[in-house]
Amino acid sequence: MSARRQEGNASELRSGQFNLMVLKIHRYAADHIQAEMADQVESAPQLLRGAAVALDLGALERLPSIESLSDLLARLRYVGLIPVGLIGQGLEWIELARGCRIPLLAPERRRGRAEETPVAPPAAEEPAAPTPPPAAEAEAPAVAAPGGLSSPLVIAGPVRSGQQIYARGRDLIIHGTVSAGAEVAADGCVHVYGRLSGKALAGAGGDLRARVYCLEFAAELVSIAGNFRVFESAPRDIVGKTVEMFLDEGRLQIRALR
Amino acid sequence: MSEIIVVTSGKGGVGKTTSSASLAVGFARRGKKTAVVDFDIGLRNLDLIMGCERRVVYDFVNVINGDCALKQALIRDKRFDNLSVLAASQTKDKDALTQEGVERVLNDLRQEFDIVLCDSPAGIERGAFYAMYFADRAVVVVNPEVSSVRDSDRVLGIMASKSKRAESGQAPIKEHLLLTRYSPERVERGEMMSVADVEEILGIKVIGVIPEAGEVLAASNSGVPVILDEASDAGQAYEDAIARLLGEERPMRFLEPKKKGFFQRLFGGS
Repeated sequence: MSARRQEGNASELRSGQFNLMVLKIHRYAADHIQAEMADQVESAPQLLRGAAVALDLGALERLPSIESLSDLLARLRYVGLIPVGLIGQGLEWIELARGCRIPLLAPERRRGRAEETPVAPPAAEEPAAPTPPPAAEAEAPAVAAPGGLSSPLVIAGPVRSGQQIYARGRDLIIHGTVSAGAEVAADGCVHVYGRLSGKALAGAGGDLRARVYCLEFAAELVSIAGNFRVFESAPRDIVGKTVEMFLDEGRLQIRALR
Repeated sequence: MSEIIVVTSGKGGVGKTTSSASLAVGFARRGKKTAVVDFDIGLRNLDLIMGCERRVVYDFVNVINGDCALKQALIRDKRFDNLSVLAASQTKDKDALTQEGVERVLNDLRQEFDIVLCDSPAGIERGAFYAMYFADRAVVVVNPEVSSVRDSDRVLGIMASKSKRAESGQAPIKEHLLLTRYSPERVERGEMMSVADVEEILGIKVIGVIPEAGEVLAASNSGVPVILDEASDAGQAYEDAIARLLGEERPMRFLEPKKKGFFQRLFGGS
């Protein structure tokens, strides 16, 4: 083991983030889809030949069978596209994706809605986030966890001045301090296990129920679903305290937890 | 095993070059074969502090451009023959640095030396970026005041996310904090941030605290790194920092205001 340690591992798993083309299917007609895609690839081969696409079947009234979807995937490969995933969530989709040997990708959707509708209807019609957060240095899309929940984005160290972290479609957990001049944002809740001296934005996608927690409060700004408060000089009674921040009838409230 | 150590800060005027010179001499004095590289292209200073400014013929940019061999550009220190200086160019600007060029020169230096010390320019632009990009360890020089601490925080963040180690998923750059221009008297009067304040904000322990002292400026002006002034507190504090960087345990000194006591008067302390 020690010999292997010294040389370093030959491989490692990391999360990455890539733009992916989405092929949205309005009508499940394999022949037509194949012809249309063949034309598209023909007209822009540089861009599309060998391009990875995710398949969005959310507009269909009912799911295709494993056989027919496998056929469609083969046709797409034939015209030069590389299907890399199926967008959807829920049991039926898991079975369908497994049957076709293709990964299942969680639809991009706002937190909160997902809890009300566990089996995924069309995802693409979701309205865009009303207040898009600032361009993020570290942005990670939601990853589907078992049971339809999105797993939180966990940052294992401090977030320093000038850094921006955005957890799209999920909670954000920081193990460490958030320095003055740093920004942490999430569509869900923000948890800071350390001093929060920078800016924290929860419910960046508009979720009014999102909350911010921190071990030591010293924030410059806190925002929940766009309702923000600037702390030019933080109130004496909460500075350094472990607090919870939430919206109560549109007003940002701060409450010491102990 | 050779190591690349960057000396950086974000903010200017906090003592990066002074510290680079003293750390380089300190490592060499401890028997480490050391090269110190000035990344401040266009504002060449390290050679002055090291006292070799009149021997600069070729510089870092010449080596990158292939105008000369690395050996020709390395200036051997007159005090320690295991210490060499690679000067910055005074006539070019920072665009002369390329990632491939910097990587090639640093890799060549790694073959020859135990420790390659990169003296970063101020700021977070090209020169500072390349100085830290390939580093294994970082000595972040910080003064006990808010703007310096803020800038150091920013630099630590950049190293944690944009360095080669971060991009290739290796173990992160090992971070050390060197607190310079520290005045215990002013801390006691509440005019200056304390060691504990700085450590708390940045979340890193200091590797050394260098007291503010006239000897530092005098040493810099005469081209003799202050670590060689063994009578001075600053020189001893740098030596302590070297020991800690090499893994030794040493108690922190010079953190308390000097008492003008009986013994001090007797022995002529300042």
